[in-house]
Parts: sequence; structure tokens; C-alpha cells
Amino acid sequence: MPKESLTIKIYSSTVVDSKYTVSCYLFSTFAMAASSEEVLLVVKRVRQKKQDGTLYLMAERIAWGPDGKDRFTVSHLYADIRCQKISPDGKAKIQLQLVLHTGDSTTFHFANEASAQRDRDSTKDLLQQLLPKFKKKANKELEEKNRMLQEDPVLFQLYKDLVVSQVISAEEFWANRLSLNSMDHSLPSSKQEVGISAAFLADIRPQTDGCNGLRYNLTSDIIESIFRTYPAVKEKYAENVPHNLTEKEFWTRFFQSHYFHRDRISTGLQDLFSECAKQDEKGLRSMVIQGVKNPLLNMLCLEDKPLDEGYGSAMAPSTSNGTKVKENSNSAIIKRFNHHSAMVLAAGLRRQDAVNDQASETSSMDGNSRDSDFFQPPIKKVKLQEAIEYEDLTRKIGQKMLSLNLKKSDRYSHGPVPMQSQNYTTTQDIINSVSYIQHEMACYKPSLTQVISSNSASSAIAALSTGGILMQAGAQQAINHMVPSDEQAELKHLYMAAGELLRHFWSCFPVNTPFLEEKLVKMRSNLDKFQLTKLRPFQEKVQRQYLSTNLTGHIEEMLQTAYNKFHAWQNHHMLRKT
Amino acid sequence: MKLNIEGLLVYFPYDYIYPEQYSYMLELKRTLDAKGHGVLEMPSGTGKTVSLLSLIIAYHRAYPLEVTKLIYCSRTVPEIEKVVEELKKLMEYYAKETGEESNFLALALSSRKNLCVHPEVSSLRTGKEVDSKCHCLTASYVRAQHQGNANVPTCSFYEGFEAVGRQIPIPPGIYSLDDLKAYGRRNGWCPYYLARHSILHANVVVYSYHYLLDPKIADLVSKELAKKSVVVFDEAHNIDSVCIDAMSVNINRRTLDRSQANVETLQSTIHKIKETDAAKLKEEYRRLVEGLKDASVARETDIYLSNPVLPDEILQEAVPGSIRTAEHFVGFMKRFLEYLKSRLRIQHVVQESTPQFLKDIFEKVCIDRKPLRFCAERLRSLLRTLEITEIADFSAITLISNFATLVSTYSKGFTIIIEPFEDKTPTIANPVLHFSCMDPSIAIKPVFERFQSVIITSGTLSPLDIYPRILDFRPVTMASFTMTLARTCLCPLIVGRGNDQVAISSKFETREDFAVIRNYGNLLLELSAVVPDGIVAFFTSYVYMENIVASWYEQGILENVQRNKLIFIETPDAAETSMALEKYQEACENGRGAILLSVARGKVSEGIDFVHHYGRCVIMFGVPYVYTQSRILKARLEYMRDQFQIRENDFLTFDAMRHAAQCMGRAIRGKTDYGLMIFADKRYARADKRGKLPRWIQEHISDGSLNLTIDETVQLSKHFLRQMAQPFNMEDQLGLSLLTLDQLQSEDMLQKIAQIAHQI
Repeated sequence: MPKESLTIKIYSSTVVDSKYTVSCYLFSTFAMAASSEEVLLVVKRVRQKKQDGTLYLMAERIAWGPDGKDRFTVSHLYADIRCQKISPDGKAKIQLQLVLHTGDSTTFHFANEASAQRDRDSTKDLLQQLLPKFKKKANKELEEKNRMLQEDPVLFQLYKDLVVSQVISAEEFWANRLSLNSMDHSLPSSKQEVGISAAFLADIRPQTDGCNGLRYNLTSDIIESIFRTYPAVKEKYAENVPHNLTEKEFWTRFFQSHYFHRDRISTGLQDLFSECAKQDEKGLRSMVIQGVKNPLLNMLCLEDKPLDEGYGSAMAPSTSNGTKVKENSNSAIIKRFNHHSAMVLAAGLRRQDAVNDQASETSSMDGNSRDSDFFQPPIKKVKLQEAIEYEDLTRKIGQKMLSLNLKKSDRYSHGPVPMQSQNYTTTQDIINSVSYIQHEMACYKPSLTQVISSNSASSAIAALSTGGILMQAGAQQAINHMVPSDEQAELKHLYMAAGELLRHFWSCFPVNTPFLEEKLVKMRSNLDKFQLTKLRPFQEKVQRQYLSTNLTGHIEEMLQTAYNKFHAWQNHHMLRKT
Repeated sequence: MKLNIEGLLVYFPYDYIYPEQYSYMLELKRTLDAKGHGVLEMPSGTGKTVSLLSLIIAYHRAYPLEVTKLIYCSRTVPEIEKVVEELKKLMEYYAKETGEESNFLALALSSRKNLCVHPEVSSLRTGKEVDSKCHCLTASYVRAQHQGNANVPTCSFYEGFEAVGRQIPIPPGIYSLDDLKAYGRRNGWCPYYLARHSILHANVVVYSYHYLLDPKIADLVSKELAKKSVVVFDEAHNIDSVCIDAMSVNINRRTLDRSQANVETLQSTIHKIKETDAAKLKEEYRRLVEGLKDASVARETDIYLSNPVLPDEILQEAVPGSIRTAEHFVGFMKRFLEYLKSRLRIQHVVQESTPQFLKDIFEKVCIDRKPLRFCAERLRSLLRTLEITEIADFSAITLISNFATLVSTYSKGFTIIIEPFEDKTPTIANPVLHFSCMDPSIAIKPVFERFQSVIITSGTLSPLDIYPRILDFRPVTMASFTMTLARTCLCPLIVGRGNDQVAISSKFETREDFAVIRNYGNLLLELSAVVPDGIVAFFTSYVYMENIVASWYEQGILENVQRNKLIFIETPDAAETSMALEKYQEACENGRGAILLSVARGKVSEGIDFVHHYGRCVIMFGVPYVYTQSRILKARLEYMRDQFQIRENDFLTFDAMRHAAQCMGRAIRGKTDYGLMIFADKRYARADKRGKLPRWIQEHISDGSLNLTIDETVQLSKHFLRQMAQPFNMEDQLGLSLLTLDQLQSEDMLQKIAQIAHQI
């Protein structure tokens, strides 16, 4: 398992060079696209392992260095941090602990008497904002790379050839591969949104703290769940925090509110969340009014002709009973469950909606995720068909395919055509010409007097049969047979590796930034290295066995072209510099 | 495929057939041959509808003079639409195979609400409003007024239909409700009246029970349907309730107050008309003297389906003199209303028979039996004469007049119960007069008498022999079919106790027991962890469900269930429930999984199917007995004991078990489907309960699964679900539960098939 070391240069007020190793899973690589780091927060007088020092919060990592030295002894990427913990208020030591994914933890002690509490809180707040951002990104990136390598054996081989044998570094390898890939995968990956557990409210079981109080444990996940499920609460939060209430006060009120304890009958007290309750009620009602899409589920239309009022035996619960159902707490619970489940369900779908259709945002606010009933008849038809279908009674006629949905069938049948008036052919033209050709074919009469002579005919046949002039494509096949398969495989890998390197090389042109310049030089040396460590040994090996054929000729040719280009560029560059 | 069913060529629109379908068609054919009635039970999801349609239509084509029409009655609108859809498929197959343009007309009929295309009227929400508004625009006198004054609004679609549509028959084809609407829109004809008109010459009519069983509607719509029709009641397990509902009337103070207002309106209208157009009233009087001769003639010549509310004697006589003039009739109704009011002023419960009631009314206010019998007819005539447009406003007085006619017509089969207050709220005076029908055979009798073959069928009709008794008819065939299965795709389990060995049961004494409720909760919780996708749970009543949900909530059981699945709950509000149901399906669809808590006898249990992943498990908490303390029920039980020799307990258990079976049957909709059926009550293990379950469920209950604990249930469920999750191919079924034409024709297969039908 290769371990790599990355060097990160930091261009900032506190220029410190740090060397550290990161070991994760199989490929420990992080594309450090930005080569300079921005320091977001500097906290002085922070102790770590009984040593005074300074804590730095930077764009991508948190670092700590002891006073008087210019090195960071502690440095964690935000992505590596699982969570932060703080010491409870009132404790003598004001501390902040970082727990890493590996299980290790680092504790910082804020030792500045005057502002320790403030320092800690500002650090905590900043971390709180930063951590969630990196959590996803890092994991996603790593997973993405891992996935790509696993799915693509060719890429994996390439990775082994180039990175493991240290021809180029991992970050160079990934640099333009990942962007390429993230383009393709951006759609599905953004769609896959983790849903919300329906029991998230149950997870915040209150615990008694021993002195007549209750303690709720809130995590950022739960808060996010609450916000996503109940947008009304989020709105309240945005309105009130931090202008009117602190975060803590807000959540205290939330848990005290009638809104949270829906089974309790409203005391009539106006609290912050009574409005939310009303809004929920409204949302529920609008959901109900909107009705259902699937006509087979619409209870209102189930019965064809309900009995008129006054008819019918009272054995069945009379309908008039239903209308004056007391608003007791039991039915409130039932309503709440329905609403909660609907909201949780909608929260899972909401993000998709936002991508699909910005306009439907309003409807998704109340837990609904549907279009108007404009499409009702087809849905009805489809549902009915589904309902009467017996899949095992019919003979299967292949798998059901997705039907092709074409916006422009012209484009599909003859691809994109340059829009030039003279050579733009419409479908009609093509149809016309096809029918013309068909017509011609139908009317074709061979004029047997005007055929070519038998001599030229037989020579043409000879040229077209195996071994003829026109059929000499067998030379490569000969190599196929001559070279043993493991050499062939090796050659293939070499080709791929060379191709990859060359791709990197050529992608540097046109050279218009210092970064590219640097990369170009590096690539050139990489190519050299490749030729020396990989190509040469292979050539020698081949030459030992097959003197006649020059298998690597083409690769060398390609490399030579690259060198020529490089020299040309270098000369040009020198000239310009001088 | 083309089948040969005892010499009848049947086109079956599929390439394969289930053995039970073949067997079903065989029995059906014998019933039709015998020109008698039949009771057939076949498991849901084995293609009952398509078998019925295939055979009856084949029969109709082979013997067009023997069977002229198929009247297919189903319960809900979606069911109706499904039948039409299946019929379409069948007829497409006919067209493909025979290659001829068939001259076949089939259509669905539904209420105005589902068929109206008038832009304003159709936008109204309730069926009653639509009916009333339609009447405003299409009544004959409104149209007559329109001739004189173009400002009087009429319905252009109805006018179009009257002008042209009535003469031009609708082209042959299969018309669903939407097709009818589209056709109506295209031609500018009213689809509702078009359909009502067209059912007379259609080959197949699909509509709901009410059009045959509710005399108020049947008289308008179905009375002219041909005698040589085959009538099918699908999903008929509740047919007795439908019959009873159609004939029962409830009168409370509000009804009487509104009737009073109606009568006053009538009186003032009569006054007005008398001043302006006395001739009209005279004309009506003359007509009434002549009596209802037309109707009488028609019935004798056997054109009409008889109307139980319009007894034969009435037809022969003229309307009695005492109510012949409009004023006299209004006075008569006033007296009748006063009498009813006085009867509602009571402190204790009164129960009496109809003769007692008639005697009392004669003694108190000197109202004779005879004029009472004419009330309904007389009122209808008066409303027509007075040109009253808002018929819906007069629903109260119509109800009273119907009551008058019924109470004076039937001396048997009905009871009158007057209750001063509801049982639950003894302090609030809310007197109600229940005029309750106890004999479902009264409403359905005309149907059995008029039509050649009546088929009663459903997935759950067990025990079969009870239906002929309570509906009072003699079937020629009674058969129950089992489901041939290549793998046991249903798994009925009876959970009798919790892990703590406490017996679980919803019986009255223990239902509020803390241990029972907790055990029910644990059962749901444990199952929610092992069952994929959807779970449907049924409670015995809404009140019971509310209580249980509340205590589960307090105990934190629901929170734990929520970790596994989302929870949706049926509410008394239909719209809310529909929403919950749709969300439930959405949650099953996207893989979250959900639980639907619902009520037996509720709308969900009667009308919604939970196919495949929408219902992998059904739990029935308790035995869904009807509320036994109701006086109406008690009266009915007594009546049944005396008249049909059915013991109270037998009927109650039968009723509970058919509802339980209905709930359970919701989950299995075909042989590729599978589902757990959890009966959570130890009473299910008893032979008298178990024996009343349909055979196709009963035969899969093993002796080992009669009294399981929750843990054992979970173990068995896991095992079952794991087995079911294996791939299931057509090859596994072929030859066992799925046949090709060749396999069907083999000798030993035919012998096997003969065993599927279980004759009684």
C-alpha cells in the first residue's frame, strides 16, 4: 500500500512549511487545487499537551504550532475531523476537542484568561460552519476516486504504472481526470440525497439532568432534519436567530412549545411556534384539497352514488358522526403522524424537485411534490391497465424498453448537421432522395453491352480476394501471431501509460500561465523518466528476442514529437525572456 | 387462446390460463345452461372478472336469443372502470382473432357527477348538487319555458341529445365513462342521458349495485332491461348490507323541520299556481283519477322490473280521494308530520312493528293505511305539476313520503325503533326514528324474479350457504374455488399470545388491557423490522384504533416503529385518508417502506387493493365484530333467527369473518404477488371462526400456526419472506398453477381441475 507525502506550500502571513503524511484507505490523495491557504482565524495562547501555542484556522485545515517555532506540530484537514466537542459551561478549563475519523482526538485548551470563553466560542462557531462542508466533499472525492479505479481496470493499471512507480505524483494523475469525471457524475451524485429518518424527533429523547430539568441533545444532523422536514421552523429560526434569541434559547422554546408536544391540548398561550402549527395545518389542508393523482385511491369518488341523507341503516357508522368529530387529542396525534410522515417523505423529494423545476418550489413547501392534475386521464388509464394486468398470463415479449423520447427526430436520424443553407438537407429531402433511388433501382435495366472487359474484371476480382493488392491488411496480424501475449499486454500498458503522459503534456499547451509552464517542464522530465525506466527496458527485452520488428517505434515517434514541441517552445520562451 | 368449455367456444384474451379460471367458467356455463342463479367464490387475484366476461360474452355470441344482455354490477367506480378496461381487452382479442367488425355495444353507467360534461354543472362538488342543478336545466317544464323565453337557461348537451341523439344509436364499441364523456363532448350530447338511453340496447352494461337494488334509482334506470339478461354482482360479499341500506330510513328532528319547511313551500306554491294556472292542477287531478294504469299495464306485459316501493295493488287503483287534490295532500302530509313529531317527543326507547305503528297512527290522527301507500307517487306527481326545480331542497319531504309508502306496504321485515338519544351521549336529546329493513331479500327479490340468471361472486363469500338463506333465493350452483399455487404465496398466521404469554385478543373484557395493547404494539414493531415495503394493519373500529394509537404514542412504540417505516393512519375524513394513502404508496414506491393503520369495514378495507409491495403484510388486530349493542342489529338478529333459522352468534361471526377475510384479501392480488396474513387474536384459532374463512385462506393455516407468540411469528415471517424473495419464473408455475392450451386439454389435468371447485 503506497504511502505518499504531500508538500503543501502556504503563502500567507505565517509562512510555515509543514510536512505531514496522510494515510487513508488505498489511495491517499487529495487534490490540493489551491496552492495558497487563507488564514481565517488566529487564536493566540492555546495550549496543547501543556504547551502554549497559537491555533490557526485555515481554509482547509486547522493547525497549531507551539510558540517560538515556525512549524505546525498539529495539523488536521477539516475533512479528517469527525466532530468537535466542547467542555461544558462553568468548567474551570475551557477546552475544545477534535475527534478524528480515525478515532484519535486532539484537545486544545484556551488559556487566555480574559477571553478564553470568547475565543473558544468563535473557534467553535467557525468550525461548525466549516466542518459540514468538508465532510461531504472529502468523502465524496475519495469515494469517487476509489470507485473509478475499481470500475475501470484500465485506469487502475495506468495508476499502477504511473503513480505507484512514481513517474508522476497522484495529484497530477487525478488533476484533470477528476474534473472530467465529476462532470459526468455530477447529475446522479447531486440527486442522491440522504433521506431523513422518520424517527428523528424520537432520537432527541430528553434526559433528566438530576435537578428537575430536562436535557435535550441536539446534533447538527437533527437540526438539519428538523429544518428540512419543517420549513416553517427554519423560517422562524432565520427570523429570530440571532437577532432576537440565541440559538440555545430558540431550541429551548422549541422543545417547550405546544408545537413540539402536539398531543398536549393547546393552552392558548401564544408561543413562537403557534404560527408554525397553523402553517402546518394549512399545508395539510392544501394537500388534502389538492386531492390525489391516482384516481383509484380517491376515496371521495369510490362510491358511485352515496345514499341520500336519511337513507341507510345506522348499523354502519353514520357519516354525520364523522363531521362533528371532536378535536380531541387522539385525533390530533393521528393527524400529526400523517402530516409528519408526509413531510418526511416530501423532504426526501424536495431537493430533486428544486433541481427539476424551480417553479414547483411553492408546492413542495407544504409537503407536496406533484404537478397539477392536468395529466389525469393518462394516469388513470395507466393505473387501470396496471390494475387489470396479469403478468403471468401473458406471454412475455422481451423486456419492456423505455420509449425513446425525441425532441427533434431530425437530429436523431441524421445527427447534427452544420447549418449551412447550401448543404442542409431536411428530412423531406432525404425521404425524397431515398424514394428517388428506390425508384431508380426499380427501373434499373442492365445494359449488357456496356460492361467492362473480362480481363479487367478478373484482375479486379483478384485484387479483392485474399492476398490481392487491396486486401493486404495482414501485416499487423503477423505481429499478433509472432509476439507472445504477455509482451503484447505489456506493450498495451506501455501505450496506455505513454498516452496518458502525453495527454498531460499536450494539455499544457498553450502555455500561458506560470503554473502551466512549471507543469510542462515537469511533464517533459516525466516523459524522460518514462522513456528511461519503462520504455528502454522493454525495448531491450524485445530486441533480445525479436531483432527484426520494432515494436516501440510508434511510441518513440510520439515521444519525439513531444520533445520537438518542447524544444521549440523552450527556444521560443528563451527568446522572449531575453 | 380459444377454449372449449363443454362445447362452447370461448375466446380468452391471454396465452395462459389458471386452472381455477377454467373451472370457474365451467361452473358458470352450467349455471347459464340451467337458466338459474349461482353463488361462486373464487380468490381475489385469480382473474375472476376476465373469466366471467369471457364466458358470458361467448355464451351471448353463441346463443344470442338465450342470453341477450350482460348486466355487470360492481361496487365502486374504480371497479367499474376496471371491468370496462378488461372488456376492452377481451373485445380487442375478439377483433384480432375473428377479424370481423363486431356489432357489440358495451358501456358503463354512473351518476351524473361522473358523467356530466356541462362546464358549470360538472364543476360542482357533490353528487347531490350536480343532480339538482342538472334537474334545474333539463326538467321538461324548464325546457317548455325556454321555448317561450330564451333567457331561461337550459343545458345545451341535453338539448342536443333530445334533438338528435335519441334517434341516432351510439355506434358499437366499448365505452368507459371517459369514452362516453368524450363522445358526448364531440357530438354535443349529454353523456349521462345518452348512457341511460343506450343501456336498453347495449350488450353489456356495467354499473353499480344501486342501479338495480335501490328502488328509487332502479325504477328510473333499470326497469326496462330485458328479462333474458345475466346479472352479475361482483364483490358481492356485502350485498345484504346494500339491500338493507337501500330500504332503510332514518328520521330525526332536522328532517322533520326541513320537511315542515318543504310543506310550507308547497302550500304557497299551490296558492300561487291556483291564482295563475288552475287548469294545471285540474289536469293533474284527472290524471290521478285514472291512476297508475300505465305502470300496471307495463308490469303485466313483463316489460318492467318491479319496484318494491311501488306495490302491485297501487297500480290497479286510483290515488285515493283524500289526497287527490293538491291542498288535501299537503294537509295530509302536515298531519303526518305532526304525528311523527309527537312520536319523537319521547324519553325512552320504543320499538314496534309496522302494523303497530299503523294502528297507532290511525288511532291518533286518523290516517289510513291506503293513502299512506300512495304518498311517494303522489308527491312525485305534485312536484312535477308545481314545476319545482330544486328537487334537492325537497329531499326531506321525499324521504318522509318514501317512509310513508314503505311503512304502509310491508308488514314484515321491517322494524321501527325510536331512540331519544344516542347511546354514547345520553344527556343530549337527539331523538331518531329508525325505520329499519331487516330482510335484505325484499330489495333484491325483483332482481331474482325478473332476470334469468343472477351470479353472486366475490373473493370472500364463505360460508356460501348463508347467502341464499339471507337473500331468499335458490341457486343452481354454489361453488368455492381454491387457488392453485406453485409456491405458497400467502402465509396466514394466528398470533395468540405475546412473548410474555399473555393472550392477545380484542374481546371486550381485555381490549383495554395494558398488556394486550403493548403486545399489539410489539407485534407491529417487530414486523416493521422484518417486512419489506408496505404493511397494512386493520383495527376493529375507529375508536379502538384511536385509543391504541394514543397509548402506543405514550409508550413510545410508534417512535420505534418510525425508525423502520413511515406511519400513515386512516381518518374519518375521506379526503385526508386519500392523501395519506397516496403518500403511503409513494413511500412504498421509493423504498422507504410504510405502515398504514386502517379500520376494518372502513373505506380502505373495502375499496383499495394493496398489490405487491404496497402490501407485503396485513395485520388484523382483533376480530372485527360489529357493534353488538345497537338495537337495530339486535332486531335484525332476532328477525334472522325467527325467519331464516340463523343463530345470532353464527351471523355475527360470519359477519366478522367476512370482513376479516376482506381485509386479508387486500394484499394478495395474483399468483406472483405474496403476502403475510397476521390474525392477531387468539379467537381466530377456534374452529367456528377459522371455519368461516374462505377456503383458499383456510387451507394454508397449518395446525402449528394456530397459537403463535410474537417471536415465533417473526421467525416464521422471516422464513416466509426469504423464500418469497427468490426469483419466481413462469416455468415454476407452468403446468401447476398456469396452463397452456395443450396442458389444459390433457386428461389428468381435467381431472385435477374438477377438484378445484368445491361444490356445496
